[in-house]
Amino acid sequence: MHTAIEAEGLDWYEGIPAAPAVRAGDLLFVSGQISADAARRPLDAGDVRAQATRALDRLQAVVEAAGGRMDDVVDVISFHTDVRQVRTVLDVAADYFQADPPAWTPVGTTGTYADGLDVSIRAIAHLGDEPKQCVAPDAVGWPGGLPVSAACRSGDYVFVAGQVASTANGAVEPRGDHGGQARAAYEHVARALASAGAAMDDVLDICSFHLDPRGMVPCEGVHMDTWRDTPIPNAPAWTAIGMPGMWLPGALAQYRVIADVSPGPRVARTPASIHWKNTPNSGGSKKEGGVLIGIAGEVASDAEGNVTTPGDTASQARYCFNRIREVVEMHGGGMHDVVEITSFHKDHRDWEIVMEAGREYFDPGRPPAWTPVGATGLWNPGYQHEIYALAVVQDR
Amino acid sequence: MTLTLPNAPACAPNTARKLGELVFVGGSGPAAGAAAPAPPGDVREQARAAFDALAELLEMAGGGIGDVVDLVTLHADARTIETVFEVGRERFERDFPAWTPVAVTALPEPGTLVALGAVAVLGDAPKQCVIPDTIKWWHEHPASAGCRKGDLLFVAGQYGSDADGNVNTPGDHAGQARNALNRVKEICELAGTGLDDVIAVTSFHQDPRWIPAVAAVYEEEFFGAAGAGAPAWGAVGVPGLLKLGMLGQYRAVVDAGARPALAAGTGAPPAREGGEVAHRGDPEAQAHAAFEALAESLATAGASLSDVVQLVSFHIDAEALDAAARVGRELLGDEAPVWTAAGMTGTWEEGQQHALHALAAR
Repeated sequence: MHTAIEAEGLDWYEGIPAAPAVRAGDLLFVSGQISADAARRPLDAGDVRAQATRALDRLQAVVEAAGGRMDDVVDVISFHTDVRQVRTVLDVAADYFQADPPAWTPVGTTGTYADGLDVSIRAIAHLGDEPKQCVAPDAVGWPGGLPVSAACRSGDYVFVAGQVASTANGAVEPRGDHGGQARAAYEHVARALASAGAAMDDVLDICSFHLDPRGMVPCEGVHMDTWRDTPIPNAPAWTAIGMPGMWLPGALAQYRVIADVSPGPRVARTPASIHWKNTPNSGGSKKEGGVLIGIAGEVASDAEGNVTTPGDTASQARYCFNRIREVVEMHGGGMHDVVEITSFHKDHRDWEIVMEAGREYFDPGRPPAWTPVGATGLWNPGYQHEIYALAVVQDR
Repeated sequence: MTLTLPNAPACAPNTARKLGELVFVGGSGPAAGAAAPAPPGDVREQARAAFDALAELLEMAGGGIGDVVDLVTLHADARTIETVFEVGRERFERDFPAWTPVAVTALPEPGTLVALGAVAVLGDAPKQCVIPDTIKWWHEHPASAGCRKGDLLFVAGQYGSDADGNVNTPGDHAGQARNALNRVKEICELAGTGLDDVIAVTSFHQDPRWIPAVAAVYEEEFFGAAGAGAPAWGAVGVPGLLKLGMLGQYRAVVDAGARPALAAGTGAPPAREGGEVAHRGDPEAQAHAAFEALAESLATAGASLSDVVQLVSFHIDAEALDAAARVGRELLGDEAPVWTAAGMTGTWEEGQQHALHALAAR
């Protein structure tokens, strides 16, 4: 049974179909923590340091309520309304993560629940007894002294932090070239995976963030190239999102990856209703011997790639949830297995409408962890949302 | 003549440029450095500080807030627009300016929630404020759809909406553009002028990938292709407009004078046919290229960079603001224009990092 985790002081989620965190086996999925009151209005507006502190305190509270420690956090994505504040947030985080920090992906967003929220920090922790193995970021030329690992392994899972086309001295190359940067980022991903004892064949899903949504087009070529030898039934899932800032100036894209070294081949499941079904990009992927499913960001497009309901916010959201349901069911699960949602919205004000639509899909007693954020562009300019989900199939 | 308010907080305009009876108010450029921090986290207080500075600069110029005909507010989050409108109601009793509110991805100083740029026309000429019945919902806001004083008319950013403010043609960017540009035309005519007198159009798009579809509507049905006599058109992607579902917003500057007082220009790093953009990935070289393009654009209207009185610049990466500021200061000369900078989600072509929109004396 997956269980919703609650903790003192986390009342921002009341009234919405989101849990502060969901525990599935040893994995704990934590919703984007924010510095907000019960109405999701910002506390300490205008003070990013205080907001980061409160968000991290809440992350710590929920991890501890689940019986874990901050040391168990293996994966973080922090969404920032101004990427020039990333460094401040990481400075604050340095007090929470000493040795072996998580694989951390900081990225810009246009906004979340309310104006004035500077940062939303979502995370995955692994609460098992297995030792945590962290790959230092030196290999990829990141600034030192930050609570950031390039990759983090615990148990069977490897989380690779958003890789950018950074050189050993911290520059970004090739400049201005989306495809070239995607290729370089993928090389860092492969190296980080290898250092953590995993391989590209273990990748369940890839989340890429792009400074200009039009930059996703050349990156599609890189994706196809990277996975050209992968049979379609074994493809990973890919979620590509336009975001207003990368954490390293000059970076046009960053690639964050989840891998599972569980035995067996990677199994892709892609419903006929998904238009990219004939490419090495699944609807959702899982290792045959694993339980975690990485589900590609689902969008409101029909089997031919046409936008289903242009301009209809709620219908587009339902269409996305229906695709998530199809993918999870093809893997032998159901919507109750969905443990985390990250919903990307062309207009961040849409989150409320999308969550209302989401109510129809999730058990009110155990909704998923959910992080809604604004994006600057999705694959097709007509998409209003892209909904990225993780699910854990349960033995029954 | 340039007037400055050296101690204005980052959310407030600190510079005014006077050109005859025209006063342009805005910032002094991206990353100007010396600004005091804005009141943290409180958009209402930041807006009040911005309007205080606007009023002070206009008084220094010999006018007052009632002379404002054009107002562009840039918001860190589209959800703050209504709050800033409320502050506007405290300041403007009637005869509201043409007010274009738009969300942006960044402002020069982190923590700034709102910034503004304004144009005022001093003197006793009557101010003509129009809101056509086709968009009577505009009466809800302290904004005119069009505001004319003397020969200058400013048309506030128009949307694809019906009279009650419902979004027209949901999800159809070109349809909304047609509707909005018809409103621009209607407003020009109500104010006694026409599209032929439009010197500048600025359009804001919820996704920059929709700009080509809009360009077809814009050129074929309204303004013709770019070139001599056509308005200077700047198109930028932004993360949010006034209401959910609004996909584009179109504002215009109209100079109906027999001898126009203003020239308009736009500049972005040149993109060749097929989209190959000069100086990819080099923010400084691209800023140079954008200013060169702006100079060429102004030249077709009989002006040069040194004539620029108001500059609004958009940048895809907040981290590149410094580079643009350095280049701009070097090129713009001693009497710098008022300069308001903001982050955008993109302009015409992927790879173009900067978009410059300018008004100049001619």
